[in-house]
Amino acid sequence: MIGLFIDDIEVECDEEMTIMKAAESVGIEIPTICYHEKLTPPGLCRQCVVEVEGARVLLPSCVTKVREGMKVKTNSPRVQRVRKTILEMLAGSTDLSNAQGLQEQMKESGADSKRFDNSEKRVFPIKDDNPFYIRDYSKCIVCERCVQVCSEDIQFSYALTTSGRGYENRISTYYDKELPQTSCVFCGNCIDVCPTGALIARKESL
Amino acid sequence: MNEQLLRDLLLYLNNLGISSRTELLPSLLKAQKLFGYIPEEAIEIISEKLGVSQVEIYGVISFYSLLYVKPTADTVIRICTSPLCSQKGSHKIQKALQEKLGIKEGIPSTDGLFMVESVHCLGLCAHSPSALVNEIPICHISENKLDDLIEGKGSKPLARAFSDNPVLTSRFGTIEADSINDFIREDGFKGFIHALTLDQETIISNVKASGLLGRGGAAFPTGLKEESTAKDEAKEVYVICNADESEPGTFKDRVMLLNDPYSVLEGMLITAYAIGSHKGFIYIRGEYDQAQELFAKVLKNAEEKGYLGENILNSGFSFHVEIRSGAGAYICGEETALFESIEGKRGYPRNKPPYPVDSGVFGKPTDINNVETFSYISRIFGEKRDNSSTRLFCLSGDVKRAGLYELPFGIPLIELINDWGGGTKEDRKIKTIILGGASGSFVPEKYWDIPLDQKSLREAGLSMGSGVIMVFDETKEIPSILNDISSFFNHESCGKCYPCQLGSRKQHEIISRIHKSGPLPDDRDKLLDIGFTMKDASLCGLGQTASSAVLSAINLWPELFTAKGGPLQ
Ligand SMILES: Cc1cc2nc3c(=O)[nH]c(=O)nc-3n(C[C@H](O)[C@H](O)[C@H](O)COP(=O)(O)O)c2cc1C
Ligand code: SF4
Ligand code: FES
Repeated sequence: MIGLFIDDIEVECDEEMTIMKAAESVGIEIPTICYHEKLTPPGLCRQCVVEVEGARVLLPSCVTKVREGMKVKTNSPRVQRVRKTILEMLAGSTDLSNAQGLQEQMKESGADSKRFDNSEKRVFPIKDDNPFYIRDYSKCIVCERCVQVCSEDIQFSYALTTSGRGYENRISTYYDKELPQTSCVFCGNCIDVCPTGALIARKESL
Repeated sequence: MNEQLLRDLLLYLNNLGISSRTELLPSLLKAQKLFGYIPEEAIEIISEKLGVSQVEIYGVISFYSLLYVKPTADTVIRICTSPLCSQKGSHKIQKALQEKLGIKEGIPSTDGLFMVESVHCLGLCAHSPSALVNEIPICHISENKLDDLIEGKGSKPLARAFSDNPVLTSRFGTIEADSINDFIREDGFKGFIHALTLDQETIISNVKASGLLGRGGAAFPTGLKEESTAKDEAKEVYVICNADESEPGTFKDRVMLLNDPYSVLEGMLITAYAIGSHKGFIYIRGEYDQAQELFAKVLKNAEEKGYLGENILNSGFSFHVEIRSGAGAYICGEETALFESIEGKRGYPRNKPPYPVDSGVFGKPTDINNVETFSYISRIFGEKRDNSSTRLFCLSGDVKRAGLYELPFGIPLIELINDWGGGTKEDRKIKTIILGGASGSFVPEKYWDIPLDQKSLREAGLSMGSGVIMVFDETKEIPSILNDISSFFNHESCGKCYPCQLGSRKQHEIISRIHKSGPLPDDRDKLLDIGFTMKDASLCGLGQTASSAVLSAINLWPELFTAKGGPLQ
């Protein structure tokens, strides 16, 4: 067991714990986007960052482990600015209309969903190529959860990947082929983990 | 589909020592070379041989700029559009070239003969504007010499250095770069032979005592890194030389590799011996074909002479080095992205910790250093031991003598520019200076005479990164320079983490609009929020520095970002 301070609250916890879990243990909830209980945390959305005394930059609490004597601020002005700006940029890139969790976070952080409205959004035609799922990548935030579950994290089907680079990153099949022509087994795991409604089962869409 | 080429690829794959994922990038580069792109049939064979799923291979190909899923052309002409070349008109030249060939950017001509693309920094910044015609570097390209360019003719880069007390560059011009005998004649390998007589702790403490700080950009104490890697009891430890050099304005590693490559190998050998490593890699950027070829010879010669391989010089110490080529991704210079790339993956940086010294390539402790750092290590143990602390500076832009300089730390910036670089062309006024490359920042005028040492720079909030000094004269415009810089990050962000993936694009959109038509009322606030978010929350050094130039410009020239200033050119 080690001791640290999170938002001035003294916390005792196991040294293998992440800052996020330690905060949770004293009732402090840190917002997340990419994090999912059942998956390897990729630490890519940076919504969960916190300010740790002595650290040069903010640290992602979902993957950063606690340390003895650490002093953590989970909601400092620096942290708030980053969370709000990330959400605003996301809203200026992607259709978040079906992403309930993100809508709530935007409200919570005071993010202006229209701030980057005159910026180029990522818009794609809906992919409706199989009897089970509909894929609407205009709603995709490239959290890569679907790729994770389709690969080593659960299914080992290898139907999906991230293709491209930077802002052009996209979730894609092999040569962007239609799902029935890929190694997809329609297990539905990707639908379960998608946080934005980009992937939905057909019956829900009706 | 060309069956013969497929058979060639199959032969290549069958001859691989190990058939695993780490061979993915080399195999894809091989296919790219054979076919001019990577056809589906090639992916299928590679997938089967290396046991990597097809979809993952597709994802990897699409990450790297030098790999294509669609046919390219017999001659691919890549025009550098990074700040230095862009400011010397490379965009216009590219346009003229495309018009002449009747093609659009990135689309091969219908006869499959030509394709034109823009690229970011080819490491030829002392000779801008520059281009790469297939693998041949061409310097000082111009609209008047398009025919030459198309044929791959034109001036070649000079590979020399200026110094009045050369240590790192002492062999430049005095030896044939590929001749191991020349190298040995000029005291080569003496440092390594001396190191072989010392125990590991002594070597490491010598490196620590030398005060050497890494020359790749982050200025981390080299000895400390060796110590942390060596401390590990693990059996497998790797040494990696980072020769991915892609920071706009940086060309020192290319020039070093072309002039004194054995010194780099010697530094790797000493390091490997000190930390108990038997396997090393040198990751050379894909655009440095000549350096790759030369280093292959270096390895072969060293092995033949017993300086590399099993039981080196009968010491019982064995070490092997493999060359890995990059494939067009600036991010792969970031150490953990480089590991991923060697492992055959998209070049996504990893969250740290774990640090490379604990878990680097293949999850093993890894000591990764820059080309210049390794070359320097070889001098610490050499006969003419020299701790005089020089470093390599890459001077480029509007100066009379752009090029590579080896000078002592602490030389005043303006002295380097005026006394060594000959001042600006036509003695124009300096408009601005950038230190540290695209990820560096503008130097406020009050610091133009700052001594170039870590301490002074840190106190001034500046960093020289990989030794880059870019000078822009009064004919240049800040918004235009910024536009080149933001374009670079927009192209090179790996896209893994949100602050940088989204921020690099939004930043570029705003900057390019300011450049074209002037700022809107809330541009400044947006740029500040984006900039601090990238700096504070990005996963790796790319995103953390992608807004440095913009933030420093807002600080120095606030009027450029406020709407009432009116449109700018
Ligand atoms: C985006 C990015 C690109 C980098 N590119 C290079 C590079 O091309 N060469 C290099 O030596 N270091 C590069 N680095 C720094 C490396 O991550 C690492 O710090 C360095 O190789 C360590 O070597 P050193 O200690 O000798 O400097 C880069 C870092 C970042 C964040
Ligand atoms: S900071 Fe940029 S380059 Fe680095 S991981 Fe994030 S998106 Fe990739
Ligand atoms: S939850 Fe996404 S980085 Fe931590």
